[in-house]
Amino acid sequence: MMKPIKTLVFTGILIAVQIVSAQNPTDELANYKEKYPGQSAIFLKHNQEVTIKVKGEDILISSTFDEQLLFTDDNASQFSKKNIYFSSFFEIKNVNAFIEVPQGTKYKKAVVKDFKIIDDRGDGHIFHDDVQKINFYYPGLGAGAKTTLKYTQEYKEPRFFGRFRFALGLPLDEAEFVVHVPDNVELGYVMFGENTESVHFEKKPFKGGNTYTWRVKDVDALKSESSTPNYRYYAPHLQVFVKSYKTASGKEVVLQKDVAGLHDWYTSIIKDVDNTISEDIKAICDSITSTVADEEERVKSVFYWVQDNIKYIAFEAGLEGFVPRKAADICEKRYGDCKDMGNLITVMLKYMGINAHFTWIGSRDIPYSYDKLPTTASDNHAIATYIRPNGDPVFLDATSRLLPYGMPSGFIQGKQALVNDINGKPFDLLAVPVIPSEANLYRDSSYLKIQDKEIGGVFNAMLTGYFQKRFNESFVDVDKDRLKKSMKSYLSRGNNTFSLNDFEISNLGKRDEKLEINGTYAIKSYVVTSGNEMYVNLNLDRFLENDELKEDRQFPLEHQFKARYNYKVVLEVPAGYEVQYVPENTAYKHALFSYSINYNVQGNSVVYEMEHDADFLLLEKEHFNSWNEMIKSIRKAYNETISLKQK
Amino acid sequence: MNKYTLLLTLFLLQYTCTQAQENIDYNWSKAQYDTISETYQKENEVVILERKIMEYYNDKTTNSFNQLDIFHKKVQVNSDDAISTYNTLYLPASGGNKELVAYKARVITKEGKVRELSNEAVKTAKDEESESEYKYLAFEGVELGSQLEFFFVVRNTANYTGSMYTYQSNVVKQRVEFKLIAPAHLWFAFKTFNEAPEVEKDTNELDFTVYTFLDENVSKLKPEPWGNYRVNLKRILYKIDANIATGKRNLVKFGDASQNVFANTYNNVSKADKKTLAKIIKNAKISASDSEEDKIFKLEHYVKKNIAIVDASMPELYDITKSVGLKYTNSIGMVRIMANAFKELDIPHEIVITCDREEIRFEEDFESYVYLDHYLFYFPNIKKYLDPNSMFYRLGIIPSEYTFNKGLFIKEVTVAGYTTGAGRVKYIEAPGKDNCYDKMIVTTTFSEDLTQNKITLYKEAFGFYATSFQPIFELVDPDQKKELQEALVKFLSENITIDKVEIENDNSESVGRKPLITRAEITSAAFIEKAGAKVLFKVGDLIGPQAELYTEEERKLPVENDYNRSYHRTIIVHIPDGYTVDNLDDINIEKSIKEDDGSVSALFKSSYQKEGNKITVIAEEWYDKIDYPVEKFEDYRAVINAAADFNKVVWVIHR
Repeated sequence: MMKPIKTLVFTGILIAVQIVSAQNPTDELANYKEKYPGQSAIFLKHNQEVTIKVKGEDILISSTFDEQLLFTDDNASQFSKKNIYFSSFFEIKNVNAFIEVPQGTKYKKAVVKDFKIIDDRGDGHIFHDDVQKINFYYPGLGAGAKTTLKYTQEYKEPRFFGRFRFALGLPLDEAEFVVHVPDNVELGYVMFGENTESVHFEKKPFKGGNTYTWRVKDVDALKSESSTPNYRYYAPHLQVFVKSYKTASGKEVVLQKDVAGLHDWYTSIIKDVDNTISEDIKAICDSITSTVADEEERVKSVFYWVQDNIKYIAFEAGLEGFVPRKAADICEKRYGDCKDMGNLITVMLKYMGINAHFTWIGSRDIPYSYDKLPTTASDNHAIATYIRPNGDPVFLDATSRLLPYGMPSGFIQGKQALVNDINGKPFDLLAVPVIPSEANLYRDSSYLKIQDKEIGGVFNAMLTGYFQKRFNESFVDVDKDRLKKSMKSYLSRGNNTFSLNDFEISNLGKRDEKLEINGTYAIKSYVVTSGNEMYVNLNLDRFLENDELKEDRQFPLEHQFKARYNYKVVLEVPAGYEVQYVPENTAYKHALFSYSINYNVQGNSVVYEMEHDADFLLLEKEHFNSWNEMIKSIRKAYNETISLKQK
Repeated sequence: MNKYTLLLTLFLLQYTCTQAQENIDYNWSKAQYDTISETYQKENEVVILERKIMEYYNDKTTNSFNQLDIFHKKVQVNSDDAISTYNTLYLPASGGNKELVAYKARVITKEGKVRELSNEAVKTAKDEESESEYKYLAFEGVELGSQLEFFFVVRNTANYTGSMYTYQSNVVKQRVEFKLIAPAHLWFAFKTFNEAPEVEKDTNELDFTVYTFLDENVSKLKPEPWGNYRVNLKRILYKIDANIATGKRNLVKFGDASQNVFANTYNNVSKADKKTLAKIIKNAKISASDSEEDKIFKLEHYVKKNIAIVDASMPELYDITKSVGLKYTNSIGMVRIMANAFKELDIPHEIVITCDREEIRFEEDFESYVYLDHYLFYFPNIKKYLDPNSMFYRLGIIPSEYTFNKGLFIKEVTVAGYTTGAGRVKYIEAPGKDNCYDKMIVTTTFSEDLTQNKITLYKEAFGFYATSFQPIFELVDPDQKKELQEALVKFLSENITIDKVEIENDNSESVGRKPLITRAEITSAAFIEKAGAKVLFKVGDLIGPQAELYTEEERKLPVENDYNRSYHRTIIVHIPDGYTVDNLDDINIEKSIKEDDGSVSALFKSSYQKEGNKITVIAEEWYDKIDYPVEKFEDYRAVINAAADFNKVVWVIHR
């Protein structure tokens, strides 16, 4: 594929300096500062105009971006450097960047002339792709200056068009998305996010087609909040796509009309993948077949083999990001990305005569489903799906390290899977389950004694589901000499004198065995003594106490998985003492979350039990008040202490 | 490279006889799976071989003095994490005079299967801005227990003014080889650190000068809190020392560097530049009647506020007028703007060049350019430093990594009508404890039912404790500003309601001059626990959580603090009428570090006074010495942990 690098056309040749008449810069700056107080920069304009044309058999899409930013304070010079990102699916043309700097009652304009192209190495998650950036500097950027950037982006693959956001991290004084659609093109669009009613829509005919316009004005900067899902869940934005078009010869070309259209394209680009069974693959599969009798056990063996032996290294240049590489190569090179692993598992299972399918899927970062948005924007991941004889699917994501067989990776829970070539149909949409909270359990029990001001004793912790997966992943490769330190911080409670005296982890790194940690710990200076009394707060792990949500929080709270916690402390009353006071039992119950704290005096022991259940992945705003009520109740309960008195 | 890079031209070539580039065709021997020593079997990763060769030679085709750098490594990966660490490799970039001339990579599995690198596993990326290109690759066929082997050869213009090779790390290394080859008339000097073996000169070799060392079974060293990790690793520093052909010795001199830096800074200042500087001085509102300190501060503040520093090296960035117009420059450009403005203002100043003490210590007795990394200004009249390249710092406070180390101080001298720079190595002292403090006064009363406290907080932070906040306030939007204000109060506890908060001096103009002041009114139940009728008041938590310093393993690194500091805390508690406190004395804690001369270098001391219902607790904590030997670690730990012990003091209050 031709790289846009060679076809860049730059407009500016010299830095041209001219005085442009406009609104008085001082007034303009003051007005905007008042309108958007405290913001360092404001988008005066954030526009995109799209032209779609059919030429012969092809569809041509190009977008012209036009954005203008006003900088309000002295920090402006820090933003002198600017990048435009693109990849081989796009061609960037006609880049025009200039700055207008206040000079008395006018602006002085300077055009950027020096553009550099840099291959972008990205964030390290992707080993190799073809993302590049055009890098340049705005000269003289200070308070009151306005920068303007215009360029045209041509889509070499119409399926990667288009998206537009109506809220960004900076205020948008004006934003407009315009699409000119000829009559021979069928356009699809879906609006997502919150506050979409503020987007003004208009459809106007022109000769031979229609112009679609979406417009917003006076939009405040999108707030940044902690533990929110991806912005696509709440920021208002539009997904636009070409469903189909009629060619000059009158033929209808379907692009992304429905799921079938999307699937047709996906299968067309993977149909030539060479899935020949190599000697290597054969040897691995045959060895599994000869030693394992049960079909499901065989699937598990294949899944674990790929998970353990193929390391995640992603190559995503051009269509490489969509087409799995030859199964035999992946097996031999021992590395690949999601689609490579998904394909290898499918190939291995099929060779063994097992009902397995290559599967496209979106991670939870993407709130769309294929049936609502049948486009490439709905996915970013690939896995394999095994269909049991009874028809139940098992989703196999080998990119997720130490994930037990049978569980979906955490980040695809609840998503829609596009399963290839299944039950005699070209595809099917299957729902990935969400693992219930009772299957993700953290249980922790301590049997403690008091010695002077210290409490200590034996403990047992047991982890299942994603707790177990996460634990295994975090600690399986920790050096022996560092593991104690890691465990100490993992198990820490009481106060910062917590010391882990000894510990043993059963089945660390084993996906299907029971994971337990046993050991002994001590916490110094924990018991408060006064006269002939002792006070011990049995809420050793005060988790959740700082989890109150801000009153003005706007966006949902996201948890990685549904979870249940159970903490138990059995405290032995020292000889010569008796229980003087035990706090009342407390609880809070809501459909999505709950907690309870119970105290019982049994013989010469006080038994404390805390249970918490969080049965949600996303907590919507309507439940925030209840959540905070629970947290307040928990805090109050945490401040209750038992007291023991000398007999 | 551009003209502002520190250059040292020694005319080393003229006596160079023909010299082959021994290593231009460097290659490895036949692949073999090495048995690693029994003691390392359980390590997640083991470096079997690390070989570093530097070959200095005269390139006859270009008549330039060049060097070939060979780096060869073989590592066994015994865990999935180790595989993920090593299975991709980024090779050194080519660009300018630097060129990656050869590289190879292969994998040897436990079974002895060898896999050479395939072409498709190697990718190339280009960068037009830095005019460089780099390659990166993925090893193929890696399994647990595999041995990954690679080498690369880089050709570059010779750098002989000083380089550091640090070979100890957090991974065990079975064999480390070091070799330096130079033309026979050029001798090098070496300095080894932390029990690295001495370098030996190969006396059998007559055609070349050859130096080698070998270190075997290099243990791993892990970072520790309050320790300076990098400088405690085994490492070796080397530089050219003598040209036997000319009889010249001690070739790398700070004197040359001083002249060079001086010229780079003050030369090429045009009339237009002087006009530009005059304009800056005017815009910075500097008046003749300002004190010297005010002049410096205003200049620095204006320049840092209006000109950004970018990581680039376009020629215009060294031009004062052009970069002021662009409103961005690079780090050298910034030094030029400020230095020449100080000159215009007739402010006596010295250029100081030093290095990050967490990377290298400035070794005065081993003159080398390797320490000449970071620019500062020193103003002898007011005895203060300024860091032109740290945007969040201002006169009087510089990043702590550039203190407690030596630096090359360069000042103007005129000899026989010729003006140049003369350098002297001097010590850049770490500021004393009173230059970095955190003072707080907490006054608290109880609600009638004794379930809540009303707390008034007054907090004054200065030095590093203020610098990390003050400039940030100017960069954030109103929501973030509110969060930042709350963060300044919530150090007490997350679990509080802030009824009112006011922040004073929350701007970059106050950096190094005025303390950051926080005043807040708080309501909280976080400091009270109840056991029936008894109230447990967590008085110790009112200074905010204090870290406990543990000794799980034997301490290896000496203590090295980032900076000296002090904390002055006053807690005033109004006990409700009719109530008494049982265990007031628990608050009395004292720990200190005594020096051999009897003086105290660090202290934690807390005590209380009672007047009626009002109890005043005073807790003083300070650290006025940066480093302690490892033997003093326990003393240091005791003082740190005294604050953590204070945290745990709980008063029992009852009728």
